[in-house]
Amino acid sequence: MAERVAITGLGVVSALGLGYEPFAENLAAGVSGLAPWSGSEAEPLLVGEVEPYDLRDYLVAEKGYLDRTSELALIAAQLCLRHAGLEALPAARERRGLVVGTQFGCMATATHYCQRVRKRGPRFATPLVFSQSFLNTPASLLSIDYDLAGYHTTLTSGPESGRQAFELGVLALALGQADAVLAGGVDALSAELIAGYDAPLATGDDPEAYVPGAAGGTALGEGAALLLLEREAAATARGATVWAWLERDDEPADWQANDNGAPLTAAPWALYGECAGASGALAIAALVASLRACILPPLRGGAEPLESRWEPQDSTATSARYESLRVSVDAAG
Amino acid sequence: MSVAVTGVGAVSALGVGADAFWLRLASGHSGLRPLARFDSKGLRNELAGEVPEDEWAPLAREGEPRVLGYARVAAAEALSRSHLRTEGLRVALVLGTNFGAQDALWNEPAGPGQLNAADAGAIAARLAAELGLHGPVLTLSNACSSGTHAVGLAADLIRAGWADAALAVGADELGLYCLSGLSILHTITTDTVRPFDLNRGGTLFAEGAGALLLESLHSAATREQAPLTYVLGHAVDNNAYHMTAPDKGGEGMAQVVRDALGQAGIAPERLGHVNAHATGTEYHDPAEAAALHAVLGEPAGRVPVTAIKGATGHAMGAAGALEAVTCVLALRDQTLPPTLGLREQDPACDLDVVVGEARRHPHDAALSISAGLGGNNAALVLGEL
Repeated sequence: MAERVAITGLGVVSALGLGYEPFAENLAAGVSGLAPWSGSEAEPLLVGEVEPYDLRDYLVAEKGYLDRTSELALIAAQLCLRHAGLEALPAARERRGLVVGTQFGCMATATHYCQRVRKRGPRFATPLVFSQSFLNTPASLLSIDYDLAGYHTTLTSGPESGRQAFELGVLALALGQADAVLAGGVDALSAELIAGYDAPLATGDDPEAYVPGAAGGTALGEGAALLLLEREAAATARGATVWAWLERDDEPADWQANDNGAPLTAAPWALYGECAGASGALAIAALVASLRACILPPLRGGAEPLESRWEPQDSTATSARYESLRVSVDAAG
Repeated sequence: MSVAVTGVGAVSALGVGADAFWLRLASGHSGLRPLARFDSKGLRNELAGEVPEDEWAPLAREGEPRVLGYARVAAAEALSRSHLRTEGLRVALVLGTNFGAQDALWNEPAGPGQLNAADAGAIAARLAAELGLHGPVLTLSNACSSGTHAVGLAADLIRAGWADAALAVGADELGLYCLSGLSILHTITTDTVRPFDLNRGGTLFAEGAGALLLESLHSAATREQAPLTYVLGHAVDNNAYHMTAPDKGGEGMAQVVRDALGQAGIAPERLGHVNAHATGTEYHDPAEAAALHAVLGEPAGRVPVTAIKGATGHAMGAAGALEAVTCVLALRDQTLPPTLGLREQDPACDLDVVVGEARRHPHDAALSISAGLGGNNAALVLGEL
């Protein structure tokens, strides 16, 4: 049996705030981060937008042009290290792994690049903008800024990307391919994403009227969650705070975050929106926060929404599952 | 734990099908031609490695992105050649792609088509559904090392017991989004691809797909399917240095080769073939040669090295998978394909590069290396157990 994987730091950027603490506090209090999109021109779209930030507060090196997806990833990484009380991943540089999941990558920049070159011709292509438009640009920037010279992958498996990033992070540790892994997901809202979304979008300005999966449409969101993963022995040896344990497991847990209608089912994204490739990563962060706070985040009861769906409920659960991943906390929590 | 390779497939500038690919590669054909689908005005070179239209047209489906079509055909070939019946098995799909279908962004107005174009994961999802695969479906994008890492990750999924078998596919299509950007970065030569040559000036890009069907040793043994060869080890890393500039010392590449050999558990002396990434760019080729010397030591000057991009062009996310197919077929036939474009070898690339014509060479282990923008590196070790 593979050694347990410890989550020793969480960097979360979402409509619930910048950092794990505001994310966890707002989740526990049932505070919604949904609001009308700042780019709305006609009918307001209800989205989970990250609040304005000063990027310089989070960068370790000066940057020129950055796509918003890259910005959110860089902020999440810095927040993760601060949360872990570290300045660098706790491993030799060639043993520091990185797995980033993103559904759309730097699509907004890629679109702008294409529009410019189509209009003016290939000679007027901008090298900097092109290099900031790749699916793997956020991961490469993270590697450069944090000297992550080990196991390295960008996953772009649609909405599954963030969850799969954790699976591969766990796998890389189990197979001995890395000693510490920064893993998670990221995606940003953009006019291109919203214009291209091929399904009804939630409208209005009342976040409490929003029910995920209901006929009123989807509230899109944006964000990033990057978690620091280590083997149990390594985390213990350096005296790290273990926020939770993570494993790949299809067995039932005490409760789960998904849409299968099980009695104890939560949809934390009701509070921050559907965040494409970041969804699974944010869901895992939400499980950690909920288990540690002994609450169930907002419930959804399928066809008959519970009256209390906006009221987090007390819980004694010590494990929870999001699809193939199980998060658990020690009973003392 | 090693993993068996029981099927391969290929779509490339050298044609459709692994047999055409290998026959033309080994006999010294070039797939580099003037661009036919695009106006090359404003690009540094009109030459590229497009999939021959006369071979592709009968297989194309209306409305299907080319990258999906190439992946579909290569994957179906690998599956067919393996004779694997997928019913009741957990067969994973790992797609590696640099740009996915993003070239549609060039033409699409804002709308659903644009979003679909940017969603590389949709390609693998459609492919898995069409092939009836019931296992993990992953898409990765590690620039031009994507194809090599797809093979390594597929092997990992089997090693971990997450899948009984896995299709590893690397695929990309040429378009003006990638060509204009790679041209303005001056990675494209104004001449032709000259791997390890003193007068190399850059690379030429290409398209296609390579596919390998991997399965556990138990699976292959149970159905008495003789493996073509085995995945012995692999590794992936990052230079953590620069978005577009290579690490001139080749340290990241040296590390990835060292790690792949370590996982394979073989000594450098056992390697009988190195498939080099060898893009023909000024800084990459000597860095790769330095990495090989750093890890292999004295045998680096003796192990035969091939660089197929002189014939195929640089097929981006497909390159690593096509080069893995090359290594598999070279092991099968004990033959190494010639490196086209090399006329006067750079003393800074002191390697035994196979030139002129194919070389008969008994060997039982091969190394394939890939690298990509953003500092990505990947290495794969294939061979007999």
